[in-house]
Amino acid sequence: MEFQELENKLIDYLDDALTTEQRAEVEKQLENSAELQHTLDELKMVMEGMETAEEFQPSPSLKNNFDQFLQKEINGQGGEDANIVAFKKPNSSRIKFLFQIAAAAAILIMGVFIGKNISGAPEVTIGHIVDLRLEMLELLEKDKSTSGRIKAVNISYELQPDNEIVDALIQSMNIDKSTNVRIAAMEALSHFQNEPKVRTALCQSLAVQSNPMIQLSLIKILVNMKEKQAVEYFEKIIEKESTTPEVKDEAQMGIFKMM
Amino acid sequence: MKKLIKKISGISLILFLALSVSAQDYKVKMSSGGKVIINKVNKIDIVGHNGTEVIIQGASTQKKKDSRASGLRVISGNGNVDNTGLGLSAVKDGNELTIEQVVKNSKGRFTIKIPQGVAVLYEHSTHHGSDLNIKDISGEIEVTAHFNNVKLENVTGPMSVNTVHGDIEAVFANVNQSNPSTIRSSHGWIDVTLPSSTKANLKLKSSHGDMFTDFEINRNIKTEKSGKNNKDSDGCGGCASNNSSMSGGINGGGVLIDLYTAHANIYLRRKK
Repeated sequence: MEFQELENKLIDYLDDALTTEQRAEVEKQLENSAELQHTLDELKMVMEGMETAEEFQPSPSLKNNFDQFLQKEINGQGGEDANIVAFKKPNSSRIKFLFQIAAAAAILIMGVFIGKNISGAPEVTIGHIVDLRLEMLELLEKDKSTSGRIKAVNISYELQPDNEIVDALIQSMNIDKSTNVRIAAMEALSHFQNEPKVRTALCQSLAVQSNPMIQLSLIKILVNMKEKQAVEYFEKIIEKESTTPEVKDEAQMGIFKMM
Repeated sequence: MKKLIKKISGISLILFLALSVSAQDYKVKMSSGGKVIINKVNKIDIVGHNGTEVIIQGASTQKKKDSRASGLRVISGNGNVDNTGLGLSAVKDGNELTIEQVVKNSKGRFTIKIPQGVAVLYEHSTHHGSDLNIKDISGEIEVTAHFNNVKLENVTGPMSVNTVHGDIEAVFANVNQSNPSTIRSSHGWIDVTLPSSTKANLKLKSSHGDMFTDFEINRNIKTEKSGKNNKDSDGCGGCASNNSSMSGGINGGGVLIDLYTAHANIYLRRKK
């Protein structure tokens, strides 16, 4: 095995992402090579450093840039090339890349630190999260492309659910014109199933949905949640004439499983 | 001289064929950023091309010549009429073109050619739905179907495809990193081929089937951070216990690719 190749394996080694055989081989090589051991130690330090690094707030200009990018995205003028980010030349070493990231991060942290001290500005807490939240709500409501709205739904996974987010997701689940966005919103809501409001909304949605794909997914989610109040909605959907046979079967099974 | 005559007759034959085909085509100008909505068309190939027009080809022949219908025109439930001469209605509203099948039981297979950068939305909900082929499309693709099998070739995403009974096969040319791609079937299998260098976060779930891949999936790459209120991170409360879903990244992670089937297998391959 070449040194470069081994170097690349080290990251996976530290990440615990190797198979037992690969792991054994890396360990064998480590014993034989002091140089490799040294690289491993360095790498360990960098990775630990990155994990424990203090979270920092974005500067106003960074935030501005992000907003501009997002606006561009919303307007749909980004163009495809603008969205594709090529990070790495095919043959460059991953280690070098990692160091580059680490260096960039260090400079950024230093910059933020210096900036804070010079301006003496009070620390803005959770500013970034608040922005992300607003962007998510805006994208979900206004983005014209289906995948854009699905992306917004996916952002919600990173946020703490609050009333507004839950309401927006319920709205998307029930009235978005794309089946795919409805399904995505439904799945996102199933993550917040500890909220009574969410459980009720999922049940009620069954009365609104007419696409069999959505009905099937919804029944599965409710059965997994063991939501007792869903049974009456299952009965209703079975009685409904327009319901397709496979949905009726799934609902019937659902009632059976909930007993 | 003989050769020349042969050549000329060959060329004129080709020209004649081309003309006779194009005589039946229906064309609509469409610029990049537009959207083509295809509704209830049973058998169809959707193909990307480098022109600036949406071109509809193929003839819809009714199964039997209906003498009672002579002198009448066919209308659909939405009141749409066959304005293409092909059994389809095509209505353009702003930058959106809606194509709908007017004759329900047509035998004909259609080809719709789409300019680059135009989004495609296909919807079908009856059991007349047949194989849907989508090829060479660089814009966004959305499919909501019931019985159709869906085959996607040389595509980039973003895409969101779902069908209840159909199988879905997708071969990506490369993966657009701007927005996620979602592929779901309730009863059919899903077979996805990605270039081996694709950077992506994966969410794979098969409730009752198996999942196969030749990618090295790094499960340490989180596809989503889970909030405090989450009972578990796989999104269906308890599914994780039966080992039916997994998430992770390939080549360091990237845009989200979400594959789901309830009752069949998932195959995720590296492009050879």
